[in-house]
Amino acid sequence: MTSPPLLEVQEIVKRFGEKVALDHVSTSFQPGKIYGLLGPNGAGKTTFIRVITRIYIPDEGEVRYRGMPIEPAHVRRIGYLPEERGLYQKYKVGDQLMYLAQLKGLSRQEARRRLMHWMEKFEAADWWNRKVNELSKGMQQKLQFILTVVHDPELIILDEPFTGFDPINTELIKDEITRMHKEGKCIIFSTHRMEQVEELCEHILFINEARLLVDEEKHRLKERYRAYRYEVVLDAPWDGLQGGPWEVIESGPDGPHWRYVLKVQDEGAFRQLLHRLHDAPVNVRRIAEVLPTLHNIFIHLVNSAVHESV
Amino acid sequence: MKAFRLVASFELIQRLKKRSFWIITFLGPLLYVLLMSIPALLAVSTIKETTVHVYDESGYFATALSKKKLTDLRVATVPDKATFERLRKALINSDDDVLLHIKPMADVMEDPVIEVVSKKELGQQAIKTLTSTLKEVLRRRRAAAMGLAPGQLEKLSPRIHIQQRIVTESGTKKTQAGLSFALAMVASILIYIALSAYGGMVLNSVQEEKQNRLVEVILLSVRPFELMLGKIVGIGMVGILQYILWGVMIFVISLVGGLVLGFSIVGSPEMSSMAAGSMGQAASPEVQQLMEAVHYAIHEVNWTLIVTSIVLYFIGGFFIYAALYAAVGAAVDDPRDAQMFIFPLILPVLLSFISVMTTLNISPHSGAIFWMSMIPLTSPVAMVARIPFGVEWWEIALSLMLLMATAVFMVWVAGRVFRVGLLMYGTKPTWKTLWKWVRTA
Repeated sequence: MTSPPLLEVQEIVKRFGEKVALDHVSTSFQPGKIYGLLGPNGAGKTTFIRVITRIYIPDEGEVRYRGMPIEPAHVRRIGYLPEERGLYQKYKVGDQLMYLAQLKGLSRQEARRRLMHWMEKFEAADWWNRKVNELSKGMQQKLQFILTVVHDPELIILDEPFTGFDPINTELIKDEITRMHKEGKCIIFSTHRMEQVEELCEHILFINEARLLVDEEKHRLKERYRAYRYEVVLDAPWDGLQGGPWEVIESGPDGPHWRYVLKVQDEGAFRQLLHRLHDAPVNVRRIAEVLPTLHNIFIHLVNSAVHESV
Repeated sequence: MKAFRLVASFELIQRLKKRSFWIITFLGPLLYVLLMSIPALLAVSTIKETTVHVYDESGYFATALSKKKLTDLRVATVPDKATFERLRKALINSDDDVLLHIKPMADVMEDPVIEVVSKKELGQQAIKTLTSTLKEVLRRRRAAAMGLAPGQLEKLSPRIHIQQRIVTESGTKKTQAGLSFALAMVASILIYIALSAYGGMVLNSVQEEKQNRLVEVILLSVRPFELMLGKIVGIGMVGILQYILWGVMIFVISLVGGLVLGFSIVGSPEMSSMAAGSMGQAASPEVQQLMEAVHYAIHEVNWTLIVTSIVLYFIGGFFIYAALYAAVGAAVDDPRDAQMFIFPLILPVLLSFISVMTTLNISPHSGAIFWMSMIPLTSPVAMVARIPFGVEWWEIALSLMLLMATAVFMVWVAGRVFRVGLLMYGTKPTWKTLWKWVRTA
């Protein structure tokens, strides 16, 4: 028997008056995985996060944590970094970190010990007695990240975690995310930055207009949206590629070489292409399938949703 | 419960750490005293002694006036051969001299025609002093003309003081209407300020968390209701602490001041001689009255009842208003939008405060004030104002019960608005939407 997923939502419906914010959404989250939560603005991502963090009670459906209906004690094992975030500007860093860490259920001593550990790790230990409004935006972001993970949560929800970070701090946070991933934490990553999702996430959730349109492994998703595009790099341009069960989309120099992008009709057409290249009078440098980027899939999904609704 | 304690103590401690809290606590009363005494200080500092040149054509006043000692006024007799015209001209170059011109009188029984001529208008206080002095002089003249001895004249203006007594089981007891009125004022001002000032603090605290979006994180570990209650209790404790500190300060100041002042009134020879001089009697009734009031304040006023009622009405009223303020703070995005909701909420307090100020002196138990002291939104101010005048115990009990029940209800209502409002951004709510949240939350 397999253990139940860390978090599971079943047929969630959430309405605000007339407006349906989540429409029968079901999915589940496993430990040790990084999930990318994607969708246009206003699609229902934040509502989804608030439902799984029990801030909103869904109108229909159920949220289960390790197989049990979710309750406050479970929510304390979640770390949430909201997109728009701040701190108390006029209070001392130490005071408010201690307060917020204790609210998450840590004892006084434990909160202090862990906060100190993180502050030292992020080279922030001497900010303890300073007021937040004396710190830079990047420093405040570090503190917010510390607050998100200080209670060692099993499920970490990061909403646009890298906005406002310089490249060095971005790497610092990425390293932490990778480390927590290896420790077996479940991480939900909500962002518009596709390159970060490509880089970090294993599983993609795509919400559009209150509905969960995509819920699958990243590589399977890409497979599904493959467009049979192939990149062919030759030593020199070759007319022999013209005419065949494919279409030449791009043709141009690639450094000292010549690069084509072909859209083939199907697997059979690809085999024909291989045969043609086998007999080519020029050297073949590279043949590779061009998989769609998440960015392209995202645009495609949003556009086709618009078409549907029209 | 643990979260509630954390929230309340965080709100309390962070406020106690602010320098402004201590500045207001210690400088507030001083500032208040200073503010109250500015008019007096200004008046005293600007007054220069004015010389009153008495040009008495009647002949009844000049001699008597020249013997009088008047506050801020120096009486000077004019040379015998001086004419009004010459005196008038002399005034043109002088700011500090006035001419008191008493027109001729047929006899002492005729009312005199008197003018004061000066370059600048004379102050009201000086005119009053002159009027009463002239009156006194003429009274004595007329008394002499009627053949009365000086002692008999005093008998013509009897001193009447009505002592109020309240019926008790064993007899009657003295009251001090003036003192009760002062107590009522102080008590209702305390409640009024507390409700609006600390209510405002709750509003700001909620607004801050909504604006810096920490609510989204906090709500993961704290139920909205606990968060709201924690804030109300934490900030309420700040208020109670501040009032305790003020109470201690006032006690110490009045103890020290009372000792100094008490000795000076009773002990200093000039005070008693001055009092005796103006009254013509050895034991001044004013001093006696003051001593009586002090005695009454110490022995007769039911301080336990007054202080307890202030505390209870503060707690009940504060829960009502702080909960409403918290709900408004959660509902709006922009502090400026809060004003629209705050004014109608604070209106009952304002109304009861104005009613107390205007009608209490006439009748502390009139219909309007009675009902205001029963209705929960106005009772905190109205009832604490009535209590020093003596209120039936059942009235207090009923009013407190209504107040506490309303407080519980308001906290419940506010909690619902609070929960929905906290995470609602970008919409400017109306009364209608707030009501909808109450029903559907």
